[in-house]
Amino acid sequence: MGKKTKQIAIYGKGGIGKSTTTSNISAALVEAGYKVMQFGCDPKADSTNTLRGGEYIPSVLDLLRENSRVDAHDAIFQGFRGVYCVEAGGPQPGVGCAGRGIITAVQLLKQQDIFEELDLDYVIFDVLGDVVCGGFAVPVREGIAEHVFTISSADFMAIYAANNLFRGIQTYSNKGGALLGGVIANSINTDFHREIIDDFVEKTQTQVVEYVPRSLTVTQAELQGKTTIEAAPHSEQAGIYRRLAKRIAGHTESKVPSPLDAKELRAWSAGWADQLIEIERRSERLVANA
Amino acid sequence: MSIVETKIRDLPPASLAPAKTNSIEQIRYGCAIGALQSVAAIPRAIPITHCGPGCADKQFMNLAFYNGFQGGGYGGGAVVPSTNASEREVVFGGAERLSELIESGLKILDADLFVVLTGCISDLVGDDIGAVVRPFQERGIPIVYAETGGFKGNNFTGHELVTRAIIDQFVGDYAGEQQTGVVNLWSLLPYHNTFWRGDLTEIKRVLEGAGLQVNVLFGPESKGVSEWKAIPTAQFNLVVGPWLGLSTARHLEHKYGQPFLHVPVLPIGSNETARFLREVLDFAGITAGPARDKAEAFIADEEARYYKYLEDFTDFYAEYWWGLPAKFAVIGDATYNLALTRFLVNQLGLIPARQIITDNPPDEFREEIRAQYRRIADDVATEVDFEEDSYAIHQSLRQTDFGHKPPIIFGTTWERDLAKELKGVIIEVGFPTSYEVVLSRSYVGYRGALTLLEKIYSTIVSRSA
Amino acid sequence: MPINLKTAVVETREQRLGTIIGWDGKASDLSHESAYARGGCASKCGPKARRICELRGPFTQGSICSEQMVECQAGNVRDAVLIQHSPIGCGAGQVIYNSIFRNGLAMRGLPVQNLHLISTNLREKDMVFGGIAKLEQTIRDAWERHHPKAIFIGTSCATGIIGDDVESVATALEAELGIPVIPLHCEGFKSKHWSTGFDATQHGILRQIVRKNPEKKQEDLVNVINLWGSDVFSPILGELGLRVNYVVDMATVDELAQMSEAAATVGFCYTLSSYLAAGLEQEFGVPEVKAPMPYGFAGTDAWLREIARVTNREGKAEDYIRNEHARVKPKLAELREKLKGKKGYVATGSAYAHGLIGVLRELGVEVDGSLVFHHDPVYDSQDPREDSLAHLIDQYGEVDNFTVGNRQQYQFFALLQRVKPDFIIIRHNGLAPLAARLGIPAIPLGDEHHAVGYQGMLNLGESILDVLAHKKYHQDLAAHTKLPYKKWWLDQKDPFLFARSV
Repeated sequence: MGKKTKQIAIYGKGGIGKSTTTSNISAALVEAGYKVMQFGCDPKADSTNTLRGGEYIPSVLDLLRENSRVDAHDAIFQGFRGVYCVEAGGPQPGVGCAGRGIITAVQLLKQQDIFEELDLDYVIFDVLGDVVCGGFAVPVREGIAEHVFTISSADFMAIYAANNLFRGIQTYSNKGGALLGGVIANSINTDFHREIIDDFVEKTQTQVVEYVPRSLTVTQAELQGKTTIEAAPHSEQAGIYRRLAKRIAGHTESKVPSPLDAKELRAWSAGWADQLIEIERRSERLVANA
Repeated sequence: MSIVETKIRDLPPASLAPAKTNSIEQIRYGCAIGALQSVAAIPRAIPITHCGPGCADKQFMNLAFYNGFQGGGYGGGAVVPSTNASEREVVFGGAERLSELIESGLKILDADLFVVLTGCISDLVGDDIGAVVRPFQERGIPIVYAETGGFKGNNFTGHELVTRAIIDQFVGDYAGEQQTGVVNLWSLLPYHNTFWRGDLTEIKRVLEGAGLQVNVLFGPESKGVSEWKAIPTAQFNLVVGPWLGLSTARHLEHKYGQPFLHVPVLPIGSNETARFLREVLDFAGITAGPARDKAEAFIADEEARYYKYLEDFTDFYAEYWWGLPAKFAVIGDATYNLALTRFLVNQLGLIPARQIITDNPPDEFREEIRAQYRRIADDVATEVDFEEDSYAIHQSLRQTDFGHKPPIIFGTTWERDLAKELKGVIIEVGFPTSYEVVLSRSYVGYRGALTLLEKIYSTIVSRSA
Repeated sequence: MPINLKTAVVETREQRLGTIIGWDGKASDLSHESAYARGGCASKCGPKARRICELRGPFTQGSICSEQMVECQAGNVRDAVLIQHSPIGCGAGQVIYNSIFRNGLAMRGLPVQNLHLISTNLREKDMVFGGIAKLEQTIRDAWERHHPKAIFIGTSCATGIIGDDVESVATALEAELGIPVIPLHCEGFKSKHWSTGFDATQHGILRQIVRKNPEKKQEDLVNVINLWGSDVFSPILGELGLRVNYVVDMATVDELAQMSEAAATVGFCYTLSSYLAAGLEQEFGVPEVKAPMPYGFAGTDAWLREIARVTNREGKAEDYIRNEHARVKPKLAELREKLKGKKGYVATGSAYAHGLIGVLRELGVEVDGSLVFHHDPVYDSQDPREDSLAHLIDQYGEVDNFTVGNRQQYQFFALLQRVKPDFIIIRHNGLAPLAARLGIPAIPLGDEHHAVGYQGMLNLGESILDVLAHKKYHQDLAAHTKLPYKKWWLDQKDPFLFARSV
């Protein structure tokens, strides 16, 4: 006891590779000898699957549904090299309140002093999507995560979600909330992708922490129910994840981002769309000429 | 020009008043689910609440208990079934829980009508209440639902939502005849108005004395659900009060082609009541002939009795040595505020110093309400304020010029200490009235007016020594 | 760590203590299933809480919520303001608690005033866009209007669901205004039992009001955790040369702050005092008096002796105990004579009921049934000397029909049929009207100190005689009213017919 647990939140639009990336970061950190907990904040409750051989674990809210009192230990499972896995869980789509579910689950662990008890070095919250309501903002509030990273591809919808998150961070920033560490650029395979992301982080005054390419190695590992770190420890992709984890671990100074407002965002994306169309046209011409 | 009118200009300029904010201190109404009391006001109807564990208790204890100690009645109070929604219903949704509550409630409770009311929890997490209730309705069970989450408005709003739900889901369609001389009465908000039971009884009595048949719908004089079922058969709807009930009447006009009469002033005293009855009779088409003669005979008889008492009261009113208050303020909901102000000005010749309406009437009605105060008597006009925050209300009363004598304040328990501070007299006439025990007492019509005089002047006299 | 003051949100009773709200059986069985009797527990149980099988059924009637308990505690601090961050409906509670507050002040000889509660009056669009700006405005209004010594913020179901970040605004305004601004998380849905609301208030007071490093100790000051009851503790503790610091209701912020300077903390009901007393001991070293509650001879004797021991006043206590026994016993004998053959039923909060049943047995009144609104298998201190149920059973014997239920009127009919009492003692609304319609009069214990100590036995005896005379009214009423329950249900013997054990 006594050391300060570093708490990090990673946000990203659904389907962007958020859980994959987060799980690889967690795996890389345990591999490096740290005590790590990954806390999935998504009603689907599958954030930690690849840390546990593809296996689902009962969520905090599953336990709450069944019992009048919940011992937080019942919701904590160990996976790859002892990494602690927790899933907040949540309701079926279309009913109840997923946001409240996250509030409840996070409070439960905090009240039972779990992070201190497990003597953790890192807690990594893997949070769904953009900040749609108060519940999804819980990890960026005072006293929970200090640093937030967002995962985004060069896809406009993913960037919208990132921009939304920046707005949430801005809201809480003057009230002791978390600050932005930067963007994890995912599925970046072309220079063009890279340019889009670079331009976005420049406009919003943040930084790219790492460029992660799309890779078949990741898909193969996932099919085995494993992280890339576990399934292909010597692959180039594993090296990228380790570098990313190291950067996140070493990261100390986060900032308040400057999100684009709705009009700016539209203008920005329209500008890039024009270039995109131009590139497509050129490539079509190439195909036609061939 | 009357004295009163010149006084209006002495009101403090608006800049002295604190800027209006969202804050409400010392509340003067409940929230929409408070309309569970409107259900409890229908004989043999039981509300079923789908809300947090405290909502039903809170609305009941405050609207019905610490407000004249009216009590819960047959299906109200602590009997009210509730899901007592927990974290589980919040996170996972509460539809199943509500369904099991209704199903088991049907085995236990003996009622003619169930009304499901939802609270903030259900309305926020988006439980599909219609889908829960409809299968019960299809089984022929008398059950309806209204979504009354507290953030949707106050218990006046809730009352209209519940009334509408019962009409649309329980009373249903009707294409038959309408019966001349039968009237549906829409007036005081049950329980919130501390004297509603006695008052509705008196209104029904005078209307029936004038030859009409009245569906009073709420309270001890109501015949319960059979009366509600009879709503479409009435000749017309009668809305008594400045605004509450108007949207219901408009809905009924649309739904059943029933006309409605809107009388903004709840009548207190002989003159007001006679005028009220004649207006209703005219609207009902009873303008001449034996029916009208009979009605006029009733009015004359009531009037004679009323003035006999008033004559005796005059000895006191004219001769009481120690002085009586001259200026008054009324702090209360629009219906009682307007009714009392008219009576106090026109019958007793008191001077209105400050009138504040506290039930947050919808904006569309406010101009007409203001106009009512500007013609409160032939020679008296006054202004009315709309305010719900007691801090602002009390600041306004402190800045009011009540002249050389202590004022009389018609208000609520919240004005008790303020009346002392102003060295005046407090008559608690509205929610919350925590220092009166009220059973059948009424302050309206012929009989109620006399009771009101007794109350006002007993309070004053008992303070003398 | 038994009490966790690090987070702003209090842990619910069911989480901390394993509180239940549905159970039916013999008092001794419940005692046996509770933590004190079992001692050790399987690892599943966490540090404190114990699991007792609980009865849960589909039909429930309106309960009470934690926010109401925050209103009746934090809202009753004389020079503070409580903001209800909620839609207007939660604010309806201002009416009842104002009335109780005023009567309490009058009874205690304090200046009568209205309580200071302000609703943020949230509307539909605040549900969508968040209510924080309104909360900030209302905090400023509270400050401008009243210049309070502290501002409490009670949350609501609505703000809990939309996830308003109350802490952030409280922290910012606390720094700006220079007074404690204290969020109390008391969403109704968070706990199945309202007593979590006591804990929520006490949690906030421990975190943000109680003086952290008291410069002086007041060795003759005793914190008495109570509600609005009459001042019976000053005369009793005065005999020991002790002064009383009543908390939380009707105290000032400074009186709350000085709790850390006191020599000890006592209560009249562990349901109410458990959290605060344990927190004061854990965080500030103020010893909690761990003894049976002060009801009946044995309980009051032990309670006084423990106070005397903790505050080093043993000799004075023995004199007082001797004198009081001598004074009270002859009068008690007279009352026992008058109450011979009478049967009572207690329906109150949990620990309080344990005390009252003892007093009735001292009075020679038969008690073979009781309904408590919840049951805590253990209190926060976990000290067996506080096991009020075991004390009851050890001193006064079995209670055959002991029921736990959160004020469910529909079950109360069958419960009363089992034992057919001559009168009931009750503290919460809702049950007495049913008893009344059965011809059974009720003693509503508005003054919660009525039965405390030696004199309390006489007080309660006199009150029973008064209320028995009421019987005429109730029997007349019973002949003329009907209950809203189907005959089939009223014929059922088992009030938990629909429930299953979970």
